[in-house]
This record gives sequence, structure tokens and C-alpha cells, in this order.
Amino acid sequence: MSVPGSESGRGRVGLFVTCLADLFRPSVAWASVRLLEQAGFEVTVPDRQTCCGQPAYNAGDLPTARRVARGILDAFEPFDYVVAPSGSCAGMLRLHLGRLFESEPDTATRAEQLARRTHELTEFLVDVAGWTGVAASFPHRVTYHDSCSSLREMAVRDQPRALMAQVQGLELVELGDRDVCCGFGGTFCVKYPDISTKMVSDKTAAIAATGAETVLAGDLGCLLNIAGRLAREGRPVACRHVAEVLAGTNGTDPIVPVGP
Amino acid sequence: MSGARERILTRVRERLGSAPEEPAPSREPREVRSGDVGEFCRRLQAAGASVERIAEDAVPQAVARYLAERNLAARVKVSPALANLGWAEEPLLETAVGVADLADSAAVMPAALGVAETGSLVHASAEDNPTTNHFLPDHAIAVVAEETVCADLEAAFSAASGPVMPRTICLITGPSRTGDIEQRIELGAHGPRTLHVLVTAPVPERGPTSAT
Amino acid sequence: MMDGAAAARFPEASARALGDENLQAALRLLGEGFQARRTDAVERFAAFEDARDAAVAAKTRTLRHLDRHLETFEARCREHGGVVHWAETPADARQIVLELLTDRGVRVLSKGKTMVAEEIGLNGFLEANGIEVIETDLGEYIIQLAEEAPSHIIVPAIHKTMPQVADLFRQHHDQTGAELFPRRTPADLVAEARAVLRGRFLEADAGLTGANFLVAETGSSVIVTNEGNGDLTQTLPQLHIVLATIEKVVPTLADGAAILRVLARSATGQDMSAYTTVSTGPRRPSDVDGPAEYHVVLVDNGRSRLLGTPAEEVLRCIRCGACMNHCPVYGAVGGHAYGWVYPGPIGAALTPALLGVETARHLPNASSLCGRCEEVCPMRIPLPKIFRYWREQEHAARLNSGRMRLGLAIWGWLAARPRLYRLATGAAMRVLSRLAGRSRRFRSLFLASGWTQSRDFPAPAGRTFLNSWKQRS
Repeated sequence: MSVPGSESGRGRVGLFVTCLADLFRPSVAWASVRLLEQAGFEVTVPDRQTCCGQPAYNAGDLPTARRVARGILDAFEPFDYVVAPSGSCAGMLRLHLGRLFESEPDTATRAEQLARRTHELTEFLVDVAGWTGVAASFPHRVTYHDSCSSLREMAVRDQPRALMAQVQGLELVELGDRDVCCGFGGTFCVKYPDISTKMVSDKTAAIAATGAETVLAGDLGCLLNIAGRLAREGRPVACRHVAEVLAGTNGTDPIVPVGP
Repeated sequence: MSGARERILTRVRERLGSAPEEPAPSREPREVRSGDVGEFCRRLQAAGASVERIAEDAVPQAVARYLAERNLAARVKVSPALANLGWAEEPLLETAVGVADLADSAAVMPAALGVAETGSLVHASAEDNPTTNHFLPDHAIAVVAEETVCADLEAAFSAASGPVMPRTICLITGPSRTGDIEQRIELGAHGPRTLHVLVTAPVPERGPTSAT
Repeated sequence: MMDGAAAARFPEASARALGDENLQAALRLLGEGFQARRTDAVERFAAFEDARDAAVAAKTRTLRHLDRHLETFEARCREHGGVVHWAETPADARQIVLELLTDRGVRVLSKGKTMVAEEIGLNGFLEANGIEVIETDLGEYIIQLAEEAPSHIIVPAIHKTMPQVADLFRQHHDQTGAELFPRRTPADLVAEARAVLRGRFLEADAGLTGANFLVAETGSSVIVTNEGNGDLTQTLPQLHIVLATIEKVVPTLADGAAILRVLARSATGQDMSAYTTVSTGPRRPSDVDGPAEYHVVLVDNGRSRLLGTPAEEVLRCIRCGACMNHCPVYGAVGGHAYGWVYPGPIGAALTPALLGVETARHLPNASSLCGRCEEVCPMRIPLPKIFRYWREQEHAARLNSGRMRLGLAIWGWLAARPRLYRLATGAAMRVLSRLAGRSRRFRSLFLASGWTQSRDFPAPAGRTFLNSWKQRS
């Protein structure tokens, strides 16, 4: 059941890599490809993708967001599914793209169609694919950070947990403040660094309180923020994207290796 | 400021444009069902009130007993509506009928209704039922008849507001409280520190051959 | 009084707030306090989501015909002997209240908690005109003694710790006999405030309250309180003045019931607040207590201009405070940093409308858009969506920083040209990765000081995914 390729022909997935995975941590994208292929999908990575447009969208710069969004619409038109290893980017495609084209009905229709085909990775594997073939081992105590967009925009909460439960040796300890933001918020973390620092420090304290060796999450933005703070505080907790653990690509170093 | 009314309303109309008329789908009052009186008492207690179920002719005794058990002075201000409950049967209880003032530590007043949904008493002001008595004394003792307990807020508002709207309708749900210091709930902020509720049941009609 | 311009100084004020240990101690109580209590209340009430829908529907229906409901309210209020005044601006509202008081020779005004009075700067204005104002809500009373503004809409003194309140009482109550109170626990302090304020209720010639809502069909004002101060304020004096903004009206008492079902649960985690009082007109001729006069001042102050805009949904707000109780930014900096009457998410959504985006532009920006506010808002106000709307207004008016605009322009230009983007980012990541060395992080980084002041900057892998992927396929 979990042999790669054994369920081929279930549909074509266009992988929305996300700019952060593309630039900072390609292993997240490789892991996503592997998981989607294991679940029996044909994965394509459209060459013309760059970013979901959130930096401009959330800064109120709609013309720029629109320009970037048009590229996405073109790049991801041909696929049965669009899957992103990020609740934040998937949320942008599913919930916000249409709003950008309120005055262009045809484009808005295309955006709505894209929205319906867009999924966050773990949500896709569990809810759409019904996949239960995780073949990975991670004998560690871990905790899981729910990104706000996964939790509130994409209703992703149980799906990553259902998948993690299939990983051999993985022990999940839940965070005390699991529905609270880590303070990343895109440009928020550099525009209001003091407030963001307070928020991420609360989060790293909560992570430390679980006694976990590794913190997992489904969004690289949160992970870079949390990893950066953990490293600065000298806390020996590793950070990884949940896809990396599910795909069994544990050889990769964690985001910022633990230690000085 | 003359003309403010027209300017505000005109701006509102311009902004709204013409919206279609819609039916008001606000909820209908629920019918009373068995268990509502119990629900009312349970919720009132959960809100920090003490509740005692008594016969309707036993109010003076219950009041005297309540004050004695709590070591409070045997003295109450009685709302005019309750003046004729037979207070004389409790000779040790000092009563005065009227509007409460700062000297009154305890007062007895009626509630027009009880609300099962919320455990609220409903006070409706009237010539024989001053609002002050519910708020000024340290200890409020309210009398409510069990047959007045209604199901929900809609039923309570509907019953309390007609046919003539009283000046004050107050839903009272427990004693006064505050969370203003370090979010800790403390009772007795400005209104009563304690709320004792006497839920009365009708006395069965006594036949002419009754032994008493 | 609060100076609206303070909203523009959010960055400085928030930095101060983060360093204020008393404030941080007070804010830390939110988790086990209001957040936990709301969670419990919602769990106890199986029909909470239905109740939310009903409350939203009631308010949405109201706003769609706001003009008619206001007219009905005015007519019914008048039928019951009340007087309705209309004020477009804070200055108009202040003047109406002052004239009501001076015409009747009022010297002492007792006041229930009303955010509208804060919004129009009423206290300072009345005091400058020789009228003594007694705040009767315990939290408002505490900040009146401290000469501060409220930092929360339902718990005005939430920023104060118990020892700070005890200090204030020592400063203001000693010499009045109140020094006998032990001041060791919150209960001691509540008892002391009660004793001090008791007599003052009776001294007041007039009482002023806000309104949680107004009811059109009966011409009534409704206040929801826990302390009972509002009821003493509107019952004992001869004159009762209600201050309410125009969006507070609902058509019927049943609509009010729909709001009550979610209000206390969201605010304090109670199923129902201790006192919900419907006031209709002055005392009836045969009544033995109650005010002889009842006046309602309807204040617009920018509400009507919000109708029909993408921000109009803020007009559904019932001022429960759940958004600020659950906001991690409010939890970090408290209410004063927001610089005006309404802090937290609702403030970030409403203040730009009332003070202008130019003054209040920081507030909707100081959000990670985490959405916890919208999640707990009983009226389902899409607060993050409204923050984005204000950011769009800010960007369109070129009020944001030039550096931010330039950065976005360059990034957007590049992101719309995938091939060039690939080249540029590929080169940049290669360089960054090499610079990071074996530690795989930066402790400081040019142009990223906002990040590196408190976080290491993780090094990129080196080769971008898309550049590698091309070789696989």
C-alpha cells in the first residue's frame, strides 16, 4: 500500500512549492513531492511559479499582489489539484485570490476555480487522498505548532496529527498554547519586531515546557521564526517541517542545527 | 445642533441605498415545560444566589430564618407590593415598608418572573415595586412564584413589557460582582453582596373540613 | 482625556509597554482569566454557534434599515416621556450633555461605564465646566483616581495589579476613615471602594450611562453590568442621560435577547451578567423611585460614513472585549499602546475610521493576521479582513514607508518575471548560504535587523528547489 507509485493515476497535482521552501529549504518541497507520489499522484512543479503574493496583499498593495497572482493563475491552470506545503500560501490561493479580481469577472472565475482545487499538503493527503501509507520512523518526542492560517483559514488541525500518528516511534506532546500565533505574520515580524519577539518568546517557552526534542509545523514562515528564536535563546530543540518527517527524509539537518 | 438629526439620517439613507424589506426572523418564545422551575433554581444558584423553595404563605418565616442563620440584624425593608404577607406573624422581625435607603442592610422584594434559560429574576418597576430596593441593600431577598417561571429571554421580555412598558425591567442573575481587580471575581461590588431567592409554591386550597 | 494623536505613536508606546513589568504581570492573567472562562462558557452552551448566527443576523438586519429603526426608537422613546438628542460630532454631544446639566443646576454627575463618553472626551470637558464627575464602575473609578485612560473596554483597569490599586486607595482614601480597610486582597479593595462610593451615588444630581443596545420597538436603553453601579446611577438621581452611538439600536427586545445570549459568554465567560436593565422613559407618575427625566443622546461620530464601506461590519460590534482578551498583540502590549479609546483588534479596525488612517495607520498593521479575534468574535466581524482594508487605504494614500513601498515594488516586479526571479534569487541564496558558513545561521544581517535583533536568521540551503528540480525532470 505504501510502496511509491503503487497507486498511480489518481490525478495530476501541481505542487505550489512556496517561495520559502524554494529559497530556504528545498527539502520541504522534495518531501512533498515524495509524499504525493507515494499517495499515487502525478506531481508536476510548474516552472513559472514564484510566490503567492501575500507580502503585497497583506501590505495593502493590491496592484502588485494582482500582478503576482496572474502568474499563479496561468501556471496552475492545467492541474486537477494544487497542493502547497503551507497553510498560509494555500489559504492565500483558496480564500484571497478571488478578492483581487472583483472587477474582472473572467479572472475572478478562474481564481475561484483555482481556489476549489487548492489544498494544504496534510489536508490533501488525509481528506482528499485518504492516504494512510506513511512509511517513516522518527523515534523522538516532538511537539507540533499549528500555523494560524492552517488552523483558521484551512481548518487543518487533525490531519497532520493523523499522519504523525503513523510515524514509527514519534511521540507527540501538545503545546499548552497551541492556538496562539508564534509572532511571525510575514512582514509583521520585521515591522513590529519587539511585539513579534515577545510572541515568539512565549512560544519557545511553551515549546521548551513540553520537553520535546523537535518542533514540527506545516508552515516554513513559523518554523524559520521559531527556529531563529530557539537558536538565539540557545534552546536545544530542532525544527523541521512535518512533511520532512512524514517522508522519512530525516538525514537533512534541522532548520538551524542544534548547538552553537 | 439643529439639523443634526436630518443630516445623520440623510447620510445613513444615502449610504444604505435601498435594501429589500426582510421578515424579522427573531426567535419565538419557547413554551414552558416541566423541569423549568428546577432549571431556573439550578442556574440561579450557579450564578451565586441561594435558593429556597417554600409555600407562598411562609415568606415572613423564611426571611426571619434566613437573617438569623446568617447572624444579620432582624430588620428588613419591604417593598410595598409585599406589605401584606403577614409580617406580624414574625414579631421579632422588624419590618418597614417603602423605598430602601443606605441604612437598610436587607430588603425583601418581589420578582415578577423567573427565567429558566438564564436563572434570572425579572424585576418590573411599578408604583408598589421600587427599583432601588434591588440594588441598595447589602442583602437582597427576592420572592418569586414558581408558576411565573418562563422558559427563555424572549418569553421574559414579552411578558414583562406588556401591556404597559414599565420604566425599568431588570433581569437579575445572582448578586453583584466585579472582576475589575486582577480578573478575580468578587461579590458585592455596588449592589447586594448576597441574593437569596424564595421560590414560592401555591398553598393547596383547604377544604372546610380541614383539621386546622 | 485621550488625545487621538497618541494612536500615531504606537511603536514607541508598545516598546514602553513591553518593558513595564506591572503591566506584563497584569496581562499574563488573561490566559487563565477571561480566555479560560470564555472557553468554559462556550463549552457549557451547546447552541453557541447558533446563538452567534442569530445575533449576527439580528444586527445585520438592523444596520440594513438603520434609518428606520432610529426613527422608530425616537418616536417610542418620546411616547414614553423620554427626549432624544442627535449629535453628529463629539463636540455636539459634549455640548448637549453640558446644557442638560447646567440648565438643571447639576453639580455632581455619577457615571456608569460608557466608552462613548471616553470617545467624546466627556469627563475633562464637564470638569472644565465646573461639574464633578464620579465614575462608579470599579475599574473606571480606579483609573479616574490614577488619572489614566481605560486600557480595556470592559475591564478598564486591567493593566493595574492589586498592589497598584491598593497604593491608589492609600493615596486617595486615607483621611476619609477608609484607611481602616486592610487592602490585602482584591476582596478588601472591592469592599473599600463600595464603602467609599455608597454615599456618592446619593449625592449625584444626575446619572449618565451608556447603552449596550437601544430597542426601537419600545424606545428603551439597555445596560448590562455586573456591579450594579449602572442601576444605581440610572435610578437614584433625578436626571438620567444615556449616551449611545447610532449603531446601537436593534429593532426588538427579542433581537436584544439574541445579543444577550452571546454577550456575557464572550465577555466574561458568564452565562448571563448579573444585571441586564431595560430603561424606558422617566419614572411613571405613580412610581416611587426612578429619574424624573430621561434623555438619550444619539451620537454619530463617523458611524454613518462607515455604512456601505468594506469596514462597515465593525458596526456589528457589541463591545464584549473577546477580541482583545484573545489577541496576542494586545496580550503583549496592553490597551494604552493603542493610544485611543478602543484597543485591541476592534480598535485596530475602528480607530482608523474615526481618527483617520493617517493617524491610526499603525494599529491595523500591528497584527500578525492570526485571526484569533475573528474566531472568538460573537458577531463574526472579519477583523483581519478589515485590517487589510485599512492597509489598502494606507498604501493607496502613500502613507506607508518609502522603504516598504520600494521593497514591494522591486519584489513584485521580480515575482512577476519567473525566469529573472529564478536567476536573482538563485544567486542571492548561493551567496547567503556561503556567507552563513558552518553555523548555518546569521546573528546579524544587513537589512534584516528587525529579525536578527532577537532571532538568528536561518541560512538558506544554497541551491533553490526550482533550480534543482529542473535537473531532475
